This record gives sequence, structure tokens and C-alpha cells, in this order.
Amino acid sequence: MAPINNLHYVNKILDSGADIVYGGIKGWSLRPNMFEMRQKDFIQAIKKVKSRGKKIFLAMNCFYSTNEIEKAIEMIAKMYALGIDGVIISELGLVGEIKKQFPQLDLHLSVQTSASNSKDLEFYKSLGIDCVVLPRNLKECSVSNINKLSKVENIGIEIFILGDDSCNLDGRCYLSSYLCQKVRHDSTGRDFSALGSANKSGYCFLICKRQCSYFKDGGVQSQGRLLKRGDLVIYKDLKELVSLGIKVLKVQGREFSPFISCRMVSCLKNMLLNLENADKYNKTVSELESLIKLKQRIQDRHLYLLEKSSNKIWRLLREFLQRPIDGLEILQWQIFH
Amino acid sequence: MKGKMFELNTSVFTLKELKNTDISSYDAIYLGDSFCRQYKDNLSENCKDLKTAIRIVKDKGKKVFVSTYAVPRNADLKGVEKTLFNAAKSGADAVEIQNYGVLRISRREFPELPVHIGSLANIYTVATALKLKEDGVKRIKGNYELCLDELAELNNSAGLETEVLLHGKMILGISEECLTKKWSNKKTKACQDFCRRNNYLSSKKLVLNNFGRVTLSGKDMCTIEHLPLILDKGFRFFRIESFRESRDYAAQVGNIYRNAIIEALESRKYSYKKYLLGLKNFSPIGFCNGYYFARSGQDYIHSKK
Repeated sequence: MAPINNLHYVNKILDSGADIVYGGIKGWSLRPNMFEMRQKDFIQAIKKVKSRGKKIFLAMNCFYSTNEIEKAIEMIAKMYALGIDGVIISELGLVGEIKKQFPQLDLHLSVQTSASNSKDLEFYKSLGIDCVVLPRNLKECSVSNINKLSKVENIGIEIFILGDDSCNLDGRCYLSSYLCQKVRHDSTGRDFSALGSANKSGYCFLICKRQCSYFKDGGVQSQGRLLKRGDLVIYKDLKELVSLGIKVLKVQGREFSPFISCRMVSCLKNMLLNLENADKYNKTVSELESLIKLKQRIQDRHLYLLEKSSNKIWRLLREFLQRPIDGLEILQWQIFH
Repeated sequence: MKGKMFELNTSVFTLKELKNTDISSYDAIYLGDSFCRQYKDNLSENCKDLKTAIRIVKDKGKKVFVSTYAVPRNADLKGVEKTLFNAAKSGADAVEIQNYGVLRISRREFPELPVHIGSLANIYTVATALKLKEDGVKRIKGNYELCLDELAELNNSAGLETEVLLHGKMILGISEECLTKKWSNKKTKACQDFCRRNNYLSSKKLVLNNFGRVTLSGKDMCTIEHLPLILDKGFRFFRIESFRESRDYAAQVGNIYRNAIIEALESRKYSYKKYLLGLKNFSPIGFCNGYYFARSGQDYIHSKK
């Protein structure tokens, strides 16, 4: 399952090997508006994906306010009529209505719910959830824990095999809205502000990746990017994960350049096809690792901007993150190989 | 709970802390630390101490609630089930749950035990609250990010007791690993109790408190100035968060708020200034209003009067 954030890359990401794509509509998904598609683009994307016989999921995975629930259901109804195959949600209050109105829709529970034990999965199954996205931090427990969770009956498991990791558990981090929040509602009552809560489609200020100082008993104990954790790299256990029968392997990246997402998906697909061919498998792993380094470099630039820039940051960020990466970087990446 | 009745509660993590705290200002006490199972003498993990603690609180005529581990993995489930069992057996008035898997265990194994859902369970809407009501939940604590109007909507529409934070540090995140141990440069697996020390994390425009796996706001959320508004909106269940604070903090802040609530309920001429002076001694980083006015969590705004 691969992310889409740009209509022009839909075919490319399918060519790279994605079987399912997922994306959000501006204002209705977890990512801020700048990383999501316009409604009319998403409708076009549905047509493109369906014409190629693949699946498309709508990400509605932010937490809504009470007065937004009805509108969220209207949005799902509209996209359901156009042919989406599933929807990814975080808000438990949506489940009952979705199951009642759209029983055919595949209902996935977002990583934001941090479902991490078997009883959690049983609870969500009892609500009507078809598949649960496991939290990215589960890498601490790795395959053994995922194995236990995959034994819960009648509920699928979806895992991120590539993406960022955060020091706080998914959906349990309120650092960004503590730092800066300016709630603004549009004429329909929807909170559309990029400066809202990161759980409610506001911008994540990546506080957990910034420079900070740790004071203990009045003195500085350590300094640096203390809250930062490395990237999520579960792909190293790909063979075991496949043998566990995981329903969906997912790549994070609606906020990344489509170029990177496409390359990553292509590498992972190659790895999946060459699980028994060690030579080809290892070659693809090294290619993937250099892509991850490239992604980290872009993220460092992103962090630099966040730490140094002023209120004009949104325009700059869009420039950096929504366009395909520049020619120099593609060249560097090719030379590196 | 309506009219001039209200409940003021706080949390206590160990038996020693309970014995050293003057809890006379409180109507109810949450026992145990939800965030770290390794916290030394954590009442949620120690059956014998929990029994004694429940007896001490009950003997003082107060209600007692037991907190359960907030983010259990499969390996933690047996321990959490034991906490629920001990709470039910020792006569706790309710358990505080932050994880829906634990809610499932509680409702199946201990259906008589009332359940409170904590703020980390991410309750943002009335629809979620109603779903939890169907599952037999008695009290909810809305997500910290909800503003007062949204919390009031939960309180009025869901038909559940809605608890709100009046004062103390907000929980801004919970991590998989103990961060204070990670930064301490000591390579040991055993818990060194670093989280009991005075820890701060400072970044540009931001000060945070870090205690092991939990990141807290550096500023104390303070609502003393806005008490009449909060009472007007119909809230009657109040929490003073004294997470890893001195026992003097719990006693004094509780006392100040009890007096302030009584004054705000009984008199139209509520004056917060004398109370604010007392609270300032306990908050070196300053105050904020949290998210109650749909602003950044660390902002503080003054009432319009």
C-alpha cells in the first residue's frame, strides 16, 4: 500500500508496484492541507486507479470535532459512490455509521489509535473494524509481538515497513499544539487551519526531532536532538513478515516527494518478488538504504527550515516537499549507486 | 452531580507518598502510576500496598480510584489484569483506563467495577463518548486538546460524568522507552529513579518536563482565574494533576482550589488574585490555560472581567 499526494504520480506509483494506494482530501485527513490532494484530483485518482484494476483507500484518519462527524460521513458517502475500496479512520465515533451505511467498505483503523495488544484488536473487531494499522513504535518488540497480534482472529493487520519514527506513541503526542495552535473554521464549521492540532490535520512541528537541552537538577546534562529516533526499518524482517500472513505492508509518505515514494515502492516490490534470490534481494536493500539516506537529508533540510524560519514557513515547505526533488539530488543518488 | 456539589481529585503513586500527603482537600484519589510499570513501589503494581492505600483513603471518607497501565503490550496484559483484580477485590470505587484493550478485559472480567476513561484514550467527540457509554463506562476525561466548549458539549450530550483538569502539568506524550534513562549516560537496565529528580527539556520557545516515558508541559495549567466560567458550563468533576510533584504541591494546590471553587459557587464576587499568589510559588516556569480557549497549549489568557 503506497501513498499518493499528487494526481500526476498516480500512474507512476502503480507502475512502481503498488497494489493499493491511499490518499487524503485537503482538510479531511491527518496530514495538513499542503500534503493532500484537492477533492477533484482525488476523484480523478479514483478513476485512474480503478481503470487499472487496483484498489484505492481514502484516508480520513484525523480526529474530528463532534460537529464535523456528519460532514465526514457525507465525504465518505461521496467517495464511496465514486468507487473507493476502503477508508482509513481514527475516530471511533465514525465506525458505527460507516458500517451501517457502507457495509461493503473495507474499514481500516489508523496508526493513530496505537493498537498494540491482542485485547485492543479484539475490541476494535467487536466495533466492526476489518484491519488495524499497528503503531510504528512496535519495532521495539518487532516480529515476535506482531506475530502474537496476527493471531487475533477475523481482523487483518497492516504495518508500516518504511517510514518515520517518533519518540512518542502514534496519536499520543500533543507537543505541536502545545507549541503553536491557531484554530480557524471555514464556512462549514470544519477546522481547516494548518496551525491546528497535529491529530486534527494541523502541522506537526517535528519537536521530537529538534535540538534541545536536557537539564537535570539545575544543570545541563546533555544536548542535541535528544528526542529523535531513527527511521522505521521493518523491511529488514520482510521474510518473516510475509510468512506471518500480514494483510497489508504499507509505506508512509504523503508528506514526501512522490519521486521518493515511487522509488521506495519499487524497491520493496523487488524485494518481495526476490525473497528467495539473495543476490537480487541484497542489491535492492542497498538501493533502498541509499533512498532512506536521501529522505533523511531532505528531512534535515525541512528541520533546518523549521528551526530557523519565520511565519512564511508554509510556502517554503510546500516548495521543498511537494515538488519532485531537484535534478542535482537525483544525479547524486544515481552516482552514489 | 449538580448545583453546589463537586468532586476534587488528584493522583498519588506510592504508599509512602500517600502517607506523606495531606489529602484533606480532596474528595477522591487516583492511586498508581499509569505511565511506567517500573516506577518503584507503584501502587498499580503492588497488591499489598494497594490494599493498604485503599483502606487509608476509605478510612478518611474519600473515594478511591485505581489507575491502570496506559499503553500495555501483550506482555503487560497479565499485570494489568492483576491490577484490575486487586482493585475490584480491595473495594476501589472505579478504575481509570486509557487503553481499549484493558477496557475490554475490565468489562468482561470485572463487570461490576465502574470504569473511568483517561485523556490518553483520545476522546474527541460525543459519538465516541456514546460508544463508550454503551460499553458501560461511567466517567470520561476528554482529550487535553479539546476546548471548554467542546468539553461542555461532551458533558451535556453524552450523559457521562466528564472530568476536567483544573491545575497541573498536562501530559503531552508517552514514549515506548524511558527517555531520562537514555540520556543519563549510564548503561544499566535497572531503573535508577531518574524520573524522580528535577528534569527539564528546553528547546526554542518551549520548556517541557520529562519524567521517564512521559513528557509533560513545562508550564502548569492554571484555571483559577476562569473558575466561574468552568462552573457555569456545568463541570463538577475536577482533577489537580500532581504528577511527580512535591507532596506539599498536592496538599496546597488542592486546598487553594477547594476554597476557590466554594467561593465561586457561593458568591458572585469571586476574586482569584489571592489564590493566584499562592499558586505562583509552585510553578517556576509559569502558567498556561492549556487548550481551553482553542489556543496554543502553552498560552495564558486573562478573563475578560
